[in-house]
Amino acid sequence: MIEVSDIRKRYRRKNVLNGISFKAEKGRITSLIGLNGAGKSTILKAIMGLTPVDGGSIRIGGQPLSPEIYHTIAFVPDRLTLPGSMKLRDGLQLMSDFYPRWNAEKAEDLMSFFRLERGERIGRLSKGTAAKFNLVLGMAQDVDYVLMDEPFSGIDLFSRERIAEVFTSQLVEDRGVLITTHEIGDIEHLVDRAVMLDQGHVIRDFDCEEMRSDHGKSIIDVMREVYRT
Amino acid sequence: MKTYLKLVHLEIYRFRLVLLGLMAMTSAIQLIGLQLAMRDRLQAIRGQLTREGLSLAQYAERYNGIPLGEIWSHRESWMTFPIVICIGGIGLYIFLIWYRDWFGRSAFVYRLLMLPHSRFLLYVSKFTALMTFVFSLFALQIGIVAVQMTMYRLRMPDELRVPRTLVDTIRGMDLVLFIPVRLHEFLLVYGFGSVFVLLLFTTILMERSYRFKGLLAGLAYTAGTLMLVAWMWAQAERGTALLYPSELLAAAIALMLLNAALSLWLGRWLLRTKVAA
Repeated sequence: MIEVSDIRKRYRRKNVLNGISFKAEKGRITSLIGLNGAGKSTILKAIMGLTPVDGGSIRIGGQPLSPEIYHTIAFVPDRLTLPGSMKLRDGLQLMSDFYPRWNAEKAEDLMSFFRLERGERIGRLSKGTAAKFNLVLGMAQDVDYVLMDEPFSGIDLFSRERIAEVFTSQLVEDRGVLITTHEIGDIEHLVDRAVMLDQGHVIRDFDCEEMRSDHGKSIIDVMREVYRT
Repeated sequence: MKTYLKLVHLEIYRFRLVLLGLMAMTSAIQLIGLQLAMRDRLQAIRGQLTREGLSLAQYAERYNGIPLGEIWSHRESWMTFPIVICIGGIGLYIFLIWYRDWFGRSAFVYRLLMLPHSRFLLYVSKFTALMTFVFSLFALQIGIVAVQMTMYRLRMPDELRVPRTLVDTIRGMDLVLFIPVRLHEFLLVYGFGSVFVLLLFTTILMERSYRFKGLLAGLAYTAGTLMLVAWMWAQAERGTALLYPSELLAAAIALMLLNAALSLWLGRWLLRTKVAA
């Protein structure tokens, strides 16, 4: 389980995170939802140790953050994380060199699924293709948790559908997925838990199935309630 | 260890074209430069022989031979210009080796900081790669001087040739600062240079952690250390200090070693807890 407890962060004289707490369980898809500037990406970066926090704690599988933890968690950020001069095949080689839990077979399957050319240069990829390749880099690791930051942002309909298919595949089964997205419609039916944020605070944290059965509301219904008032 | 070597390989691979370019440029300019310098010098000598009606043997007797280091005369910049460019290129790359990972379309720094290994390996691998570039150019420079000695042997008439060893030739060409020929000189020049690189690396990480304030603090610390060492050096040269020159030198070395340890420790801590992608 990823446990985020009371994390706080101040950046450029502004409180970006004001005591954020939530849990993301293994085997479930948890979505961080919020308007621009709500702190979604900062939370993911804090979990990955890419940005220091001023207070609070983050534990993964009960352990505090350490280099060893990165064996159990992968991050799919909203930008490319390999040099543009590299070819896709070099990128895969780099992952295989540095990540002991890299699964080359799974990477190969994903490359074929997304129809990616190994000889293409990373710097020349379109936004949609780059997002798919980013997903390959994250999903081909045999890890317990995958964090995804806006995997559908600025991507055409067909690419979005292709990416959404990954969420229904075995690639996600048994893993804990923590995802931020504006395009909640693409994966609303797949999300197990929703954590809604506003100005660095958690304002709603609920089980989506319970919300549907007990209150007859979808995530988008709750979003309308929360963000329109 | 395996990860460290892979990271070093990655850094060297990423700079390989620039390094090879610098090497090719240095070799071409210095070898062509020597060729032109020898041609000019021999033309001048032949002219003088004709004017004064001398033979080569008589000329050598009157004016002595011409060692390799003295051929250059006004073409000395052909030797020093590539060295300055290499120093400038490596100096610039001290910063780029870090900043190139942060800026640009892709944020490679995300990937590097997320590697499931100690982040300190990034620091030491970048440092190792940078020192590998320095010593590659250093070794190349020695190789070029050796080739120049062969060119000199082939081109220069026997009467004018002054046979010298490689070490004496390097001394004669005023390359001693870049290629120290005594072990203690080598250790001093490259040891101090290495500590300077460590100070700058940590300054960069302070900037990446605390932005402008970190940059100012890092630069002030680096400048302060260098000024202190320069002052100690000057005292030793003048012989006016309370300590003997050898004691001042020992103190300067101790100071630099302390700074190296502090830079490594601080760099490790910043990478682990403060650096933001």
